[in-house]
Amino acid sequence: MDNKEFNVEDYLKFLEEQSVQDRIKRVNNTVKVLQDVANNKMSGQEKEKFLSNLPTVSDDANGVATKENATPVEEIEEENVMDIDLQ
Amino acid sequence: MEKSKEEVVSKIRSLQGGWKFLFMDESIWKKIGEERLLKFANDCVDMSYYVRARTHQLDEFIKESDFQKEFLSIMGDVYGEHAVEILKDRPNLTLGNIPDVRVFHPTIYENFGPKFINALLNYNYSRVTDVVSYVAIIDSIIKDEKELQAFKFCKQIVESNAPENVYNYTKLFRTYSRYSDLMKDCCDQLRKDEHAITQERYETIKDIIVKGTDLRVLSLQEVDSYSDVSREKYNAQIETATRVSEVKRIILDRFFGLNFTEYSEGNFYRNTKNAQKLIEAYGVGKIIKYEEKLAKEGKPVHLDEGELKILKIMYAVTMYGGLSPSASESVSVLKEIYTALDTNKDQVIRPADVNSILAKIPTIYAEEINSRVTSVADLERKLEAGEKGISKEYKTVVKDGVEYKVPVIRLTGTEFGFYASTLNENLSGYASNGADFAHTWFEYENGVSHVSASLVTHESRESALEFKEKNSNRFTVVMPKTDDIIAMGSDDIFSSSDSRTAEIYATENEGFKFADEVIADTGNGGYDYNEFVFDRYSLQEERFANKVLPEGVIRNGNYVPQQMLEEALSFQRYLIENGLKPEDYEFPIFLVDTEYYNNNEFEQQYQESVARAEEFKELKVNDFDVLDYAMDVIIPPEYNLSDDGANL
Repeated sequence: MDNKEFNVEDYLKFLEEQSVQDRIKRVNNTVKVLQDVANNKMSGQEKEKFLSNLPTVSDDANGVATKENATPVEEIEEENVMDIDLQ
Repeated sequence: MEKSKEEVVSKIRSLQGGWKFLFMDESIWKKIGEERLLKFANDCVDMSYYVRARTHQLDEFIKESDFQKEFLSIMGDVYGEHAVEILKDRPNLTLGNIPDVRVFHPTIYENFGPKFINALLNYNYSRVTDVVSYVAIIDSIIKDEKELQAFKFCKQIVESNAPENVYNYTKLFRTYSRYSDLMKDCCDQLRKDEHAITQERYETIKDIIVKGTDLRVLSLQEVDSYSDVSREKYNAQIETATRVSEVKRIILDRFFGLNFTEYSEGNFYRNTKNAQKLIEAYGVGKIIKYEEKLAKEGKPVHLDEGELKILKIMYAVTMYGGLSPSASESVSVLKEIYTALDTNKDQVIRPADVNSILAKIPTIYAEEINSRVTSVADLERKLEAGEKGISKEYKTVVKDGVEYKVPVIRLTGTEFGFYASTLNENLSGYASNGADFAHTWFEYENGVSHVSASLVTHESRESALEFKEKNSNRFTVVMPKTDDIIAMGSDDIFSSSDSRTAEIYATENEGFKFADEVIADTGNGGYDYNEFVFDRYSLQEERFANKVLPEGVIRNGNYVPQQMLEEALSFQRYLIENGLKPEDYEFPIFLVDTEYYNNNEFEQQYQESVARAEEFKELKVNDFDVLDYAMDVIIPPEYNLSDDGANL
């Protein structure tokens, strides 16, 4: 921090932004890992319930819906909206 | 007889109280002058019994005496004019209430601002520090530039994961208390190499802060080895785990930063990491459905794609089990899940990911509920628009020869929603000692740290529309909208807290609900009111030492008794005394003429609210009997447990 050009606060902000961007990749990988286990090791109702509770994996790792830019309903494909079996 | 400097400093050292640090610093003695400070020190010792007292009369004595004036003067000379301004806003702050008088130091003021100092005066964060004490933290950051930078570094990382508010300052102080060495090493390494904090190191530091750890992490080098060491620890635990609940706990702890217990914990509190409790109290399944419903309807959502997925993953893993033929199969599958996540450990979900999402959930409920609340500004807009069912007039009150105008807003059919709170003695003790209404709200220092209110709307049941009149100092006031709903329930949730603590407990905390659920259920459980709990202080409130103040007084009926007019006037007079213009901060009386609301039209609105609540109930998690999946006995869904508990 004696280096006038380097600002720790800005650097931490950069790391946090990167973390948020990387998060979707971590999330999608986690879903794939869990889906693999479910498909290979689970069976019956337990498998159905677990898979239906999991989200789908998006192809666009950077696509995010935020409050400001929520996708209009006509663009959402039905298969991407999960119905959770809460029973 | 006045003690010498040596004697008085020795005596002060033995006393409790953050005020004593005024006398422990030789530079302050030089700045103020030995004679003046010695006299004040002797007065403090004489007063030391009194400064811890809480009664109104002694506070008045302290306020009016030369002692208080000299205290303000010395604080100004030692710490600067900002200290005097902050203290003037807090005329009832006794020396005994200040955990460490050095919070007024210019270093803290310049780096964190008056809101931070007021927060440190409103809450006693020394209760949450353990490894390094609170006073040691304050001492170090005002004396050592490197400690200050390390503290700021820590604050930024803590707040990357949870919003800056009075509650999360507990996390800040607890984290710095435990990890100050790590924070200092991070800053030292950055001085040598601006790339010292890699992305991986940053993620690991966040995880350590979120989860806490019993592993020693004092330096960046130990951050690097933390992942391997902690992995070994979890792998060893998995080897020997034989129960569903054990394996689930290990998975949720390592990858989600949550814990899992065999039975859901009783009370919900803000800091909980219990996965079942979070799902139950936050209604995670309901939030998922709600966000998807908003997206389907083309409305703005609160959680982005990644955040929603994290909730679903957390839900899926926590809820796994209960349908398998045997517990041993569940254990086996869960171990496969652990192994798969461990194999992909650098590319899967992390505790900090989960923590930041969970912190958002209460705000989602708050936004929905706030959309049904009408603030003074909302009602003024209705008046300006000429809406029917609302009117405003000014009642004249003459007090001490001065004429005042008290605004009265009469609701005769317009839609409304209020957070209605009954003032009582828990606030400060001042009310029971005859302090007037305004002084009680503006100047309390020793009341509990939270305020409870009841959501009342035009759709509420008739019995919920009755507001308490003044009875044992109880008026019903209207609290403003806030994002910071701590807890809620459609009945009394028996919330409790202490003075100067950021944590509350509620033995009947049902968890979060949407507005229609609350409205529909209020009155079903034996109480005519529901309960919402808010922080009494907010960093968004710039005036009056961060206090969240009521917006007005509310009453049923079609006229305002004189006593209520005079009580409401006290607010206006207090503002004038403090240099504010009444028109900048109107404090109206809301008159809800229930004659206009107890009719078929509003009964119909109540029924519509109930119907909407039913839709939310379909979204609700079928809360699941923790027995289903937590215990190692798997009960088929059709088995009737109520008949024979022995079968468990």
